[in-house]
Amino acid sequence: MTDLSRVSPKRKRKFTIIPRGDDITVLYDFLDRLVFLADSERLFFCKFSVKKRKTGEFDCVAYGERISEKKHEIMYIVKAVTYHGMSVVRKKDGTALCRALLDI
Amino acid sequence: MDPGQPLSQRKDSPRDSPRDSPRDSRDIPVERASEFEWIIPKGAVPGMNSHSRLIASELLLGNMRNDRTLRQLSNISTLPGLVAPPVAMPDAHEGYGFPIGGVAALDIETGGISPGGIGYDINCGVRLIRTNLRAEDVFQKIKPLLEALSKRVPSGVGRGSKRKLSPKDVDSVLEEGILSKALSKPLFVGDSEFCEEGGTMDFARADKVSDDAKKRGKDQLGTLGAGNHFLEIQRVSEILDPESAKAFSLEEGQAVIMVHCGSRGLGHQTCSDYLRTIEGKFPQELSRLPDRELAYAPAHSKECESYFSAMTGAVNFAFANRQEITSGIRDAFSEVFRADAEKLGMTLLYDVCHNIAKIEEHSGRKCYLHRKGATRALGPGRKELPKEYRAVGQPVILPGSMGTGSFVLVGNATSHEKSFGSTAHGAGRIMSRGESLRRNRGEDVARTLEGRGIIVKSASWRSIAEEAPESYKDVDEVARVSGGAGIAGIVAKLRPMGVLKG
Repeated sequence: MTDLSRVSPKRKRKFTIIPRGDDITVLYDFLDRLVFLADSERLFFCKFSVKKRKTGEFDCVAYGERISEKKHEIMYIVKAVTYHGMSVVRKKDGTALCRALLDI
Repeated sequence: MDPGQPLSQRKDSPRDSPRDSPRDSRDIPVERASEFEWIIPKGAVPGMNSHSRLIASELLLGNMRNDRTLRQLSNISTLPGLVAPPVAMPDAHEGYGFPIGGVAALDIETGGISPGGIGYDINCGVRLIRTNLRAEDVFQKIKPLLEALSKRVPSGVGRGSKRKLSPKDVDSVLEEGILSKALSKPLFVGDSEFCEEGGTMDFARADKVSDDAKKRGKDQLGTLGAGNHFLEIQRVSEILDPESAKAFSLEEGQAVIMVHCGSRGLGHQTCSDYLRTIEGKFPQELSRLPDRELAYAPAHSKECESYFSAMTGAVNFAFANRQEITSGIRDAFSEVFRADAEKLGMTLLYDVCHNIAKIEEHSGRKCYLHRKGATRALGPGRKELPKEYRAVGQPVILPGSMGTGSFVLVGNATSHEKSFGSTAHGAGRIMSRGESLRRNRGEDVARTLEGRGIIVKSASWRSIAEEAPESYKDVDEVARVSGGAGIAGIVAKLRPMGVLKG
């Protein structure tokens, strides 16, 4: 975790989330992919694009850059996503309010 | 209500409405069974198959009421195949699914394994390395020592090892632990014998660990990581059990080194992978549980066996990680003291696991014994112990905060029946990282500690502020209760001199 204003969208990583249950599992899987990419490739992400296919899958693109100790203040590295207190509340305007607690 | 209905669609699901769920455990009834033993009666939460137990003083119980610890301990009793009621250790606090400090035995035939009962940092654990150096001699060189250690033991957020393991080497570490030829240095005499499970667990299969987990782990062997992980140079400040101390080759004024870390990203990913697999495969079982993080793979299922093989692989990775760090410590001491580590007496006292499931026998039944934030504490005479320790019992290393010191305990004969042969694993937090950060400045914490003869080196001031001593429970009280309850008695007190924080 870092100050997003200091992360540039220089690199992008694409991945697909195949829903395996409710909204919560989609949120869990999306965040889990980000944790994996951040830890295995040492990346910070600052911008995201998610498109839902008619068949239900989510095509995701995460934009960011390599972690630089000179440029970024590294506050935390997320070890894992948890279901603890996780919620997704769909709102009338089509957006959703998501809540996730991360293991740091 | 259809029990097969996805939990998130059930109106009564606590995980569906976390903000409605009480954030404390004040409504959970607790009955006193003895001075340090308490019972949560069956029925405290719906669906309990037995009562739950906890080992605590009134002070520590008060801490547990302030978060969800007692609620989570009650929830464990909803799992199937419990061979005896689950129990929480004196340092228990709120976790994900299981509380940290929760111990549960699920029958190998009728129970199963719950990844949440082990935790994300599989085989997070601690080891203690002896030296034949006097503490005052080490303290004189504490700053160059910390400098030399920081060069050899990468620590802090996002810092990996300079060494990248090949896929073949990762597999070797997963299956052989500290006996893997992929380790950078040969073992010293005793490195395996004085490690829980000999530093390598059977059942481990590299092919059961995902490629993603291996990718996260490939450059993390020999690294501390961040958070509460640390490396400390300590002095043995007081001996309270001379017979056990003699067996452990500990004496007052001796310098020792403590290492606390785990399986890094590889273990975290393994837990996440299998949590996902298991909840997808067993929705009916999950629907009967009050918390999604309690998801379990029923005994004899393919997923149960696969997770056990993957989890033991991550356990081996963590053992190997602490072994590689030990090699770095030995090299650093050699450089500063201009002597071979063997001549400096840098042998392993013991290495214990905090987050693990093992096949053990309790109440006459074979079970998957889950320890999450708990330490095995075998009493005297157990065949699992090295012969040097068999007469006194297993060493238990109990780390405290960086300002208050740590303990070496010894497992008591009655721990087997009282706590599944387990005791506490540390002080346990009482303040969130955010709260610690709001209340402390890292520079101030470091300066205060230096005034008390404790030098702290960290990659960031933030990390020091988050780990300020007042963020943790009183480890003296945890050790006192462990001894008073008859699960592990105090052998020696250790005081930090130099701290390398993750």
